[in-house]
Amino acid sequence: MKRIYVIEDLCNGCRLCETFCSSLTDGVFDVKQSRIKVIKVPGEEKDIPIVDCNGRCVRPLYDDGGPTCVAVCPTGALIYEEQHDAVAKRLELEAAREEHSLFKVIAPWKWPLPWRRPGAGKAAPAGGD
Amino acid sequence: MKQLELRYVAHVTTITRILQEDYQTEASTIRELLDELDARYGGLRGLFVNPDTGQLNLNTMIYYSDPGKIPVSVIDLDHQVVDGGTITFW
Amino acid sequence: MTARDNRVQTILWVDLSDGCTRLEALPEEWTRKYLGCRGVNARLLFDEVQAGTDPLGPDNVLFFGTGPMDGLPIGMGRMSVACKSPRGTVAEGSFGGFFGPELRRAGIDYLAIRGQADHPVYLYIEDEKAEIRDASHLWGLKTNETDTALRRELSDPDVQLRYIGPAAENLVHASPIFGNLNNSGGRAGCGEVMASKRLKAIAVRGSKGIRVADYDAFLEAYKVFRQRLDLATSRDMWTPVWSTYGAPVLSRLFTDIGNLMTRNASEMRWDYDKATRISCENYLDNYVTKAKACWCCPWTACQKLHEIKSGKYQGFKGGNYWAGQPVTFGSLIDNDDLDLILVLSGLCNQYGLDIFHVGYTLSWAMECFENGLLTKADTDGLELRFGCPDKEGLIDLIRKIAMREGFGDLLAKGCAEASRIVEQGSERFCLSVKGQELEGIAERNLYMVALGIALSEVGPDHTRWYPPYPCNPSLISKEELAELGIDLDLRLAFQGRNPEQKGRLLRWFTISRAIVESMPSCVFLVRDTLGLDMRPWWNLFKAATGIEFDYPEFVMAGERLLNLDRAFNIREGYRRADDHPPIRMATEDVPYFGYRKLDAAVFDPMLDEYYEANGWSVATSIPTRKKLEELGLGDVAGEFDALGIEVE
Repeated sequence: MKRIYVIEDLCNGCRLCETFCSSLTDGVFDVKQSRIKVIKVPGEEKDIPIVDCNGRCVRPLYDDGGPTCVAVCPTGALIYEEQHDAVAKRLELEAAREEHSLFKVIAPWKWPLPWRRPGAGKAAPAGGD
Repeated sequence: MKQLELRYVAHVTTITRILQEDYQTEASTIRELLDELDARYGGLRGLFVNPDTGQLNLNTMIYYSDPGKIPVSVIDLDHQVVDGGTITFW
Repeated sequence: MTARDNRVQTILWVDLSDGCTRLEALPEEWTRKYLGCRGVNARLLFDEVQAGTDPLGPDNVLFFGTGPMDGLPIGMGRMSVACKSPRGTVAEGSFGGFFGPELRRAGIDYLAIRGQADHPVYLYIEDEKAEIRDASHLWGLKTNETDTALRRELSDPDVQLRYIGPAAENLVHASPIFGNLNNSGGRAGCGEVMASKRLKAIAVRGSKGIRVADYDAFLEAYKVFRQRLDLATSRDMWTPVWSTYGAPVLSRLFTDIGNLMTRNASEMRWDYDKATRISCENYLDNYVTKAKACWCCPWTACQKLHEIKSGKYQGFKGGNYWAGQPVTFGSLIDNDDLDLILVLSGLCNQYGLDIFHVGYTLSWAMECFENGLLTKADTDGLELRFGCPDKEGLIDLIRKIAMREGFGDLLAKGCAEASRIVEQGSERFCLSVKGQELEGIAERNLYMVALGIALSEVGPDHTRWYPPYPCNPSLISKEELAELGIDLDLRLAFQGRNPEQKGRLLRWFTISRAIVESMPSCVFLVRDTLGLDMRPWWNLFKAATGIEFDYPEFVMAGERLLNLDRAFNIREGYRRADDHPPIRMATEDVPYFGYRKLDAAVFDPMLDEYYEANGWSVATSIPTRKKLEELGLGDVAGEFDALGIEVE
């Protein structure tokens, strides 16, 4: 069964998830109604989404029917997967981070442009730096 | 053989893994150069070339300068490259 | 608590002289005429602060404005802060973060602070109730220390704060107001004014919900908006870079095209290897620890936290290395040590200093020093040269500027005032307009930028017409432009060094950005066609507020704001003669590239075109009677008549 998993260190604290979720039932944006809350540690060094929801969204924003919070998250900090896929994605993130610092700030599955995957063949550069 | 200075900016480095290089080529246009570089770095053509129009993708930019000249933004991928040129991919 | 709507806006008046606070509703028609945020602030400022008011006295009013979109997912937490600048012009700036939504949730849209407290205070607001509390224990604390201290004192990790640092307290020129540690705004004088009122901080907690008028329509409008901005679907060449690696990419991109201010803009290109060392790739690889965002931003990592991992300054933490610092603490002073840039800019944030003021005043001083106009006797023994031979001395100088110590006191005045004191021709090294320092964006290669900087009513402020590099013109057809009422040949208008159409392009850019800042939303996000096609914004505003107005009426709100800002300055005595480039840009061609100086021959016709397109007097820049009446600002014309100001 799919559920919402959180990748905490990808969260940038934007609160799109919390804001949209809070409004889905009655059109009122009220964080008290939200089923996902983003905790900000004082000093703002950590943003931690805490989810209290089974992922069957009250009102999916897009036609794919997936939870709205996951759909609006810009970084990929929220995923809606079966457990084994969630594990695979987490491993994918860790491997991507070994390759490129870009994935400090965004999940590889959210990056829409071509990039060199881990283990992909690489021709020797022709001199220069 | 033409000697070019190639520079890769920001996310382009996720494909090339380097920031810049001196590069030798027989390519006569930016398009041909991209094909060559794609063979080396895999994904560069996909980033820059729109599969429908065959021209530059809207969310990318290439600057090109002939030696000693001010760079111009490349609109047409059939833009000529000359020996000593500098190209910035972003 | 019942939910509030977005149609009627409220204002909390606070008088720090007598301690009285009063919450009232603004006229409902203001939401229609001025939208909110910057638009309403412009109206309030014009009405409440008369000509000749002492900016640092009790009669100046400091306005904090949210707007109908704050607390909704497109507001981006933006707020406008406005007052009369100590320099005499409108002072208006904006900042993001999370304060705006919280204030709206407290049931308050605007704060208007007048008077002066007789000891340091902070304002505590909780759900429409405001208290003025003692802040003597906070006065003197740096911005980050204030943030920590107040959160601890209020035992509330989610309280939202705005505060000033020691620099503002010492009335250092251009000190902004800060919040969420690294967000700042109001560099045109708002921090100084806040300090003159002895207001150290504002804290707010709110618990109301916010109801939108038509939720279905709002969600549909959001999807259109999001599509233009989302990394996966945006057709804008800047979106991939801006949303991840960030603006420090500019050092590498700009140096070869003559857009990188180097050594106080005596040159416009830098050594490429130096530019690479301070660029976004090095930053992301070696310094960034985490992405940060403002309220509901659709972009991944506009803001970032960073830490210096090794070397002399190991452990120094900060955030938001963006477009300004690679110039102000990089090429402008010929420093390619990224550690030093991050330390200098981090200290500016902590002391509450404006990086543009500090960077441009340092580079002014360096050029003076290199030319013998300043010596070690003036600089407390500091070798103040380009290339920064004395890094420790430079770091200490930041503190001295904030605390007005020694040589720091001269620099604390800003380069315009400092060059008036030093004389000896030093004003030709001063890169400022209306007494405010530049912001790192090239002028002699980008005529719209040059015009925008010269004209801006608050002094140089690129957010009033941002971006200097508009979208690809092929994204929008001639037919669509006609539908939108935009009479421009975009290909000509977007050509940097072609003076044609620049006035009319700038007119559209200033109006459309005024609209964005009045909703509010983030003016950085006018990507793809969102800077030209305001209909997605209009749909969002209508759905959120329930106000039915047609597109031209919506657009007119932006123009109305610009006229109010101009009118404020006119009332203070500003005229066309004050709208000009800095001396260097007006009198010197760009070395190596040969870009022409912005002399009268090239500049004046662009200025003429802008004024004419706006319906302002070409001779004086005063809005004409016809224009004021068209905008429903007949009262402004009436006031000009009463004051003997000539209206054509």
